[in-house]
Amino acid sequence: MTITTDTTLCLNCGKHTARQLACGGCGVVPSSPAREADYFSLFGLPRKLALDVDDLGARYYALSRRFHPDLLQDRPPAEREASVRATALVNNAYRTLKDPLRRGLYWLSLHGESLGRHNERVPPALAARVFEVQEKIEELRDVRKRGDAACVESEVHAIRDDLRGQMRDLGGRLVANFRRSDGADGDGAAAIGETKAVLSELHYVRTLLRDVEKELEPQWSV
Amino acid sequence: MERIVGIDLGTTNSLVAYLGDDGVPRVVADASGRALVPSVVSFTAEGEVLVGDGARARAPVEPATTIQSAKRFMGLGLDHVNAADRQRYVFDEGDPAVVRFRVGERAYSAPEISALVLKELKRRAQAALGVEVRRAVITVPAYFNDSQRQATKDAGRLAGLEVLRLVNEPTAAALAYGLDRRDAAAVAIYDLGGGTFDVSILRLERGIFEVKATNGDTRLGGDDIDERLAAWVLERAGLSSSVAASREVQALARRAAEDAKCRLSTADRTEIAFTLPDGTRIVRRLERAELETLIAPLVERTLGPCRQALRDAGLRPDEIDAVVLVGGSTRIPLVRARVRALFGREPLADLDPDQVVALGAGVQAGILSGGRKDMLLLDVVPLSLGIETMGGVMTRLIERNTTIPTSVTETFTTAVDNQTAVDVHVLQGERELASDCRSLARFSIPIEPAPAGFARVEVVFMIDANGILNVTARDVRTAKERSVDVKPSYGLTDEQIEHMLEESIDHAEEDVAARLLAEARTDAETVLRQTERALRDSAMLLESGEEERVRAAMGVLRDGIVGSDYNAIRELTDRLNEVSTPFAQRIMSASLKRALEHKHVSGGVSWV
Repeated sequence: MTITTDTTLCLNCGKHTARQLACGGCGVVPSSPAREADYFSLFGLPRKLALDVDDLGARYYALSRRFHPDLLQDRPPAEREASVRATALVNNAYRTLKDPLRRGLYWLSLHGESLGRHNERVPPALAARVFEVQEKIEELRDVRKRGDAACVESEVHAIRDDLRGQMRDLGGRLVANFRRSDGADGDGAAAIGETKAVLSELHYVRTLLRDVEKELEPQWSV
Repeated sequence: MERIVGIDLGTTNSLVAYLGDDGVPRVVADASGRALVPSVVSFTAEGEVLVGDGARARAPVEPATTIQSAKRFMGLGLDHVNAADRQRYVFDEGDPAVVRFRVGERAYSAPEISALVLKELKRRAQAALGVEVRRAVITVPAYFNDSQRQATKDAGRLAGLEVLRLVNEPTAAALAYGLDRRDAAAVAIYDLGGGTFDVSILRLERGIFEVKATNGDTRLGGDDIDERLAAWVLERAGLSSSVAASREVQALARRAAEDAKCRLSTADRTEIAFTLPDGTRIVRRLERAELETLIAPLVERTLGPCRQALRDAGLRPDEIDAVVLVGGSTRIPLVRARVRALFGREPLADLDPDQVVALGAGVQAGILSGGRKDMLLLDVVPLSLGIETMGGVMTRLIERNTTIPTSVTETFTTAVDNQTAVDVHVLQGERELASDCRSLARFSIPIEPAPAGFARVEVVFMIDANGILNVTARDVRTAKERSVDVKPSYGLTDEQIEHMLEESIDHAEEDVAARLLAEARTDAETVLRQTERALRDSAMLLESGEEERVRAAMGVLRDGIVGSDYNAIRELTDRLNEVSTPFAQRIMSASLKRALEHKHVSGGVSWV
């Protein structure tokens, strides 16, 4: 994640800049207070973790129709340049919010939190799993060099399917947690803590799954 | 009057299309009704240059001086030339960074060969439309890297075309296919052409075409099938190895293989037949099943990228509403069967797979010229972009399949005490090590010496709607900044391209200065008209004294336009842009603010 809490977004140029009244990138004073200029408000949405992705998509398309430089070819160059930056901001916001993990991390950053902080401890069960899967991948690489890898390959396939199932479960837990976080008025700290735990696990499982998938289906070199 | 055209610059065939006034794209056909122009250029001993069908006919006779599939070498160096290529062509070994075909005294790079094909298409379009054609949208394989894209742009420039946009081929196909589709749908485009394979997953909804993921293999296509089949028949023909290895025999076998392959798309069996230069007739029976066994591994290679694209799009195969086939090689029954098996549904091929890409390019040309305001393409970067960090690691700033335009900022620090400069090495690719990725640019930014870990260098990657990457690095403490437009190099420099332009006969004949003057005047008039409109429509956003300043710059430009110095007109145009920039930014901000206040976006999407 590149969004940190000591920066804010300039609505005019779409750059992340140090929190200040005027944007360091383009010198323009944002028309709305910096605090409100987050990805949620860009789409006219409340700063809540649970959101309807289809509705977000419709809002994204509406903003794209308004700001995409391809539809503003008949406008002065300076305005077209500004539209490129506005569209970049809209694209980044959509990319962040549509994905539950990215959305969660971004939401944490808005609360001055990140996964790195006070969360270095990986749950022991998960750590063991990561270790075990990495070993299996190593083994697969080894037997591939020697020829017949079918047996180990099917084991790695099983691991992949298992990880995919885990991803689905975690996704469900995350959404449930999002709802609780959004509803927690008084006890924000507890909600943040829980969200962090799920996000952290999801983060590990997703990375692991990607490694496994990559190993099973190597990219063709460009 | 001019028209923007869309061009499918294919490995095997090329064609040109445009968006008609009725909003429907059409391909340009010649007098005999043929739209396909073989992407073949042949140089005769008499110094004549043939392009298209005439050139293709000479391929078996003069294989070395008849250049086919130049697209396979666009933006690539001699390390990408394989044994079969070497058997066929004579390469200029002078510069390993650029593939050059040796033809007599001259050597031609792939962009120069492609430029000759583009010129032919431009000529046809001008003849058919009766207007000047100066600007074009050209399609490229989705998996082309930046060097290959730049080479394609250079080819356009050499052909006297301003390349407004490069569109990925499968995306173009989706534009043509989804033109009349109004319901929301997830679409997979499977594009197996002569030399490249691409797959893209898109979401279509009421005129918006959002690319979700794209993948492919830039060196896999119908040519490989012909190659494999030609080798197979030569192996069985019982020829001496010297005869079988000769350029001429290879070309003859390849041509016969291609024809047989096409016939087997409908027939169950056929014959591969050709006559050697000494009169020997080679005939070999071929069953479709034999061909399928031979090419199955090639077809299998296309499925990996399909699965990866689905994963990147976050979709299962059964969530795809339609699968569209593009490219001549998708006529092969085995290809259709494998695609059907993967997606679990019958693939669509109702548009001519040879024309669909060009038609889509015509649509995008129409969008960019304001002819279709209801359609919008949201495209992605095909490959990840990043910089080299400690230990030669590629650190990604922009992941592949990110929608463009996009901008990412990341802060880095130093690893050594009292560094006085930081090297920024811009990379492209999916591999972990910098050395395995493609190097796009390298520049250095001076920094204030500080203990390791204390310096702060902010790196901004900005990609515009054309996919052009701009990288800015800034020492946060001193605010010293350095910025580069990353123009991918592939061995041919800007100067070399300029030189080629000057050399080319077409440009020697026309008055370059006159053309530049006309362009500068047109641009100036456009900016004047647009600024006038902005002043009228957004007067409430003007600050005191601003209108006077803008009008003064407009006045100076109006006076300057009658002069004959195009550079002066350019400068005055830039000056007006500069003066009106804050105003334009306010217009954009206000518009964004209005959008934010518009609470019911989903319910009230305006259908322009």
